[in-house]
Amino acid sequence: MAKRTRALGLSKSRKQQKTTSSSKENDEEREKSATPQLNIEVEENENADNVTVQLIGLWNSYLDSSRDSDALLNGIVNECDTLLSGDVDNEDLKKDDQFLAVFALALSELTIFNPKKVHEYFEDSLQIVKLYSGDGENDLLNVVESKIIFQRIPLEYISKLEEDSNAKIDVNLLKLIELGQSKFNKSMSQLISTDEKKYANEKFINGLIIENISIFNDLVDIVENFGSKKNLDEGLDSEAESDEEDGDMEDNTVQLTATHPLYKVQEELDGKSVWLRNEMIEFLTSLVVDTKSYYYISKLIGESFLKESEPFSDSYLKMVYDEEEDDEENEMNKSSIEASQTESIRLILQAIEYLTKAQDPENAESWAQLAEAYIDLGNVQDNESAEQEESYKKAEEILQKANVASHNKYQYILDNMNSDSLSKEVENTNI
Amino acid sequence: MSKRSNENQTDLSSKQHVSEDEKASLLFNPKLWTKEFKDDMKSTILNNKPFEWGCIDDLVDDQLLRDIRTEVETQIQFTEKETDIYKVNQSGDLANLSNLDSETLQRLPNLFKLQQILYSNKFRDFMSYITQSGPLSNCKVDLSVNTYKKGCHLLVHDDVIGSRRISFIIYLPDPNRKWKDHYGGGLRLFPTVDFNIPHSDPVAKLVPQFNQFAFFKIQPGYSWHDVEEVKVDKHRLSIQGWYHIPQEADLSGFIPGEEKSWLKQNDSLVDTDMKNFTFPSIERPLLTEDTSSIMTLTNEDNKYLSKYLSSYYLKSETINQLKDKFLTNSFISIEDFLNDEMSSSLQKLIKYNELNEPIPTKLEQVEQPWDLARPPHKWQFLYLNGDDSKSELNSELIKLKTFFQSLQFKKYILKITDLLPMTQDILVRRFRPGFDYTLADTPDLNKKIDDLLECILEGTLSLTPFDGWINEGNGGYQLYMLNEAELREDQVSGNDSILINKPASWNSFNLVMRDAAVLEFIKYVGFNSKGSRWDVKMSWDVKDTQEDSEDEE
Repeated sequence: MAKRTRALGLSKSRKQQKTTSSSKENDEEREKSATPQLNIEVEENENADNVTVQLIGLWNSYLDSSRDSDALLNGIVNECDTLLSGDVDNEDLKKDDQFLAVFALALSELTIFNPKKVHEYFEDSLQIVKLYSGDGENDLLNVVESKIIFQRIPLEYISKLEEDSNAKIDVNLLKLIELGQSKFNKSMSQLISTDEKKYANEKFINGLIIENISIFNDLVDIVENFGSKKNLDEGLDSEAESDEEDGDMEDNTVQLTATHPLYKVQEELDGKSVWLRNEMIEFLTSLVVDTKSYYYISKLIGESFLKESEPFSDSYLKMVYDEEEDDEENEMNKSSIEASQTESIRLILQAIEYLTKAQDPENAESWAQLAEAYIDLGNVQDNESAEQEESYKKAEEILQKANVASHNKYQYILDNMNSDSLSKEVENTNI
Repeated sequence: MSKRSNENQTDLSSKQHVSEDEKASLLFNPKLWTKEFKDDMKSTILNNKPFEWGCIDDLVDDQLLRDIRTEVETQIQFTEKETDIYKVNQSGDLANLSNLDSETLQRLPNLFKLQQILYSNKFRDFMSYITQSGPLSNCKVDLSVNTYKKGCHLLVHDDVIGSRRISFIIYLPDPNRKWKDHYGGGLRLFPTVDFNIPHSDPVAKLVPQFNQFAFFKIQPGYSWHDVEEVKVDKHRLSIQGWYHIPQEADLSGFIPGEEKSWLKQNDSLVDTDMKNFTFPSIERPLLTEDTSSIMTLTNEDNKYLSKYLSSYYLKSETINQLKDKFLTNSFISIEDFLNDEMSSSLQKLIKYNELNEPIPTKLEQVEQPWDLARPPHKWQFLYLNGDDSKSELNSELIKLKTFFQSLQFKKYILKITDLLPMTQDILVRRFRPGFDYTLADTPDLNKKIDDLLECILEGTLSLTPFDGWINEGNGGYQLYMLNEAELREDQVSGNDSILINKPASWNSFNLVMRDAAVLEFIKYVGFNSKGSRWDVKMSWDVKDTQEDSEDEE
């Protein structure tokens, strides 16, 4: 047992270690203490000694981590590379779709940490997918390929584009997106099918599908906001309300020319959002209720419906609350007012259905988001109607609960709601 | 002839001087120069609470300030800096605008113009008059550019440093939008409980707007203020500066010995006796228990300890491993310290409390058995200070505190450290998001008891149920670092000074032997963290049992 020297205390222990150990040892020690303990999670029915099982465990650990280091990814890639090149019998590995999937996923993910090797890594990861020599088309590798495609579009192509880029790039971005969609579309259903659960590690499969969804969701967002200068200097803030001043802000949406590589993608964007939502609705049916994944996908579906409702809500609110028009014009607008209101309410109610499913008992933000949807609903319901009152009441109840759980984060909205000019304030308030 | 020439020269220089001042005055809001405005300001500042401060809207030419904002945004790189007392984005080379080289000045012509007019004779005279501060130095320019982004803050302090006489800030948030109260970033002013002891709650708050100029007289012992955390993703850009006591190089206003006596007076503030105003008390009286007979852990002791602690850490083999590590490093970190049953029941109760009970936001709202640690220029957190059988959580936390105060737990501590606890202080703490922290301090060594080691043994059991403490910039971590004196001695710098950085977590126990050279603090818990940091902080003055046995040998 170690006997303490007379040099006592944290500062002196450190000093002693500094003088008695070589710098290399010190570095190693520091590295060791800085490296978190890694536990590889393995499903109950899996063989923990199987190398592919271990690699999947490592990949899952990466997905669960803060993803701010490429150490785990490099570990996976190096191990896969060694196995594939060193194994004389590597034909077996080429038939192991899960092994190839982890290898390709980890390599494609390294692009985030190596901006100069984006093209090389994406190409290599697609080559790994193509190494598969098993029977027929492989659903798992199809979904891996769609992930690579969806991730590649913003990282390798859109990142190089300017608002006025008219030069042709060597890929048709719309076609590339459609290729990814078709691969994901047909294979995701097979992967989640309860009839033939081919893969023991459900976390791995669900994680892969969620990655696809998340990346495609970001891609839609990127394309939609491409070139937009909105809030460039202050950052987009989900917590900041869009207030009166914001309402008056100029529209910063950039109109792309027809020759711009993203033009066609932007034109088709609404359809892409609906496609993603339908995929998510299908995927949600396979998830266990009240899990983090279930909450997350429900939230994205709810947000998607809310977003689709926005133009209808805006149009309705503008027609109803903006300056009065003459009677003739009013009459003309009456039918379009009703149409906008009906469509807006339909979509918001669908959003509420999914945001209710997204209620995480430990996440006040999910409660606040539901409250926001009820406020949106109240805003487009007939002014001072019983339905509107009911929607605002529900919103307030939920928000009060969220406010307590989030240490008064939503107090200013509650204050707004309780002020005399309730409907007007609420109309302009987002959480 | 030559005489006339000299006269002409004098006249010219004087005219030039006047002309510079006149030019400067044109860039200020003309209202400043009216007698009525000046007298109104003077009276307002004098009568303002909690100390002499003021605020002027639309101080300078709007376009000048917009140009400065553009200059700052395009020409200056900001780096985030974080210490126990602040988190702010500073421009390294612009920490002090007075030392800029000509190349930098060319890049920032409007910022330089602002500096010149702020230190012009006309504006200094104006400031001196309305604050009744006496003359202000022209040569000692002290100006910096800061931007507070989401999560940035500056905790309570008084600005009493060197020859500073007046503090001022010009705000430059987005000129096209109103900065709202709930964005945070307000300048908050604190009254005093007693001389040099700030109150826990501010009584005045300025919500910053573009082209607003806030200032206050530096009043040692009284001018306590902070910058509220910016809570949303917006930039609160500001130019901050100080007017100083006139220096020898100044053309006028210099009084020999004035700065020296000011510094001497302020030095004496350090000695202010805070004992009667410090809660919880930092006194640690000698234990009344007979600790001399606690060298062995009996089966009964183990049975008691296992009610709370994981059985793994009670095995002799584990105890020996822990002791080896502690003797080598003067520090050990133990994960999953409480047993599963205790851990899950406490976690459930704390989570329930976090999600369903409102947090007190003012001192007067803090209810028994909790109290608020204060004064805020030392620390601020809630701590258990009494009994409560009504709330299940409080009742369980009190039991936990009693467990850590038990003789059996002290025996356990002795087993894994070879250190005999002679005193103890066990605090159950809660650090509320957007409120709480401790500032860096060296340990209060107990001088009242003989033969104690010149160290404090400190244990911290982190019981923070929600995640999001790593890489999310929400603070709440516990940091042990070498103090500056030690740094100079070892000639180490940067991250070498950090000894332990432990994020808030669940059921993780740190045991540290802290000597006088080690600072410790809990970083301010950010408003956007998912919940509070909860922990149990234990401090013991100790005797070294190895030393005793060696003596006996």
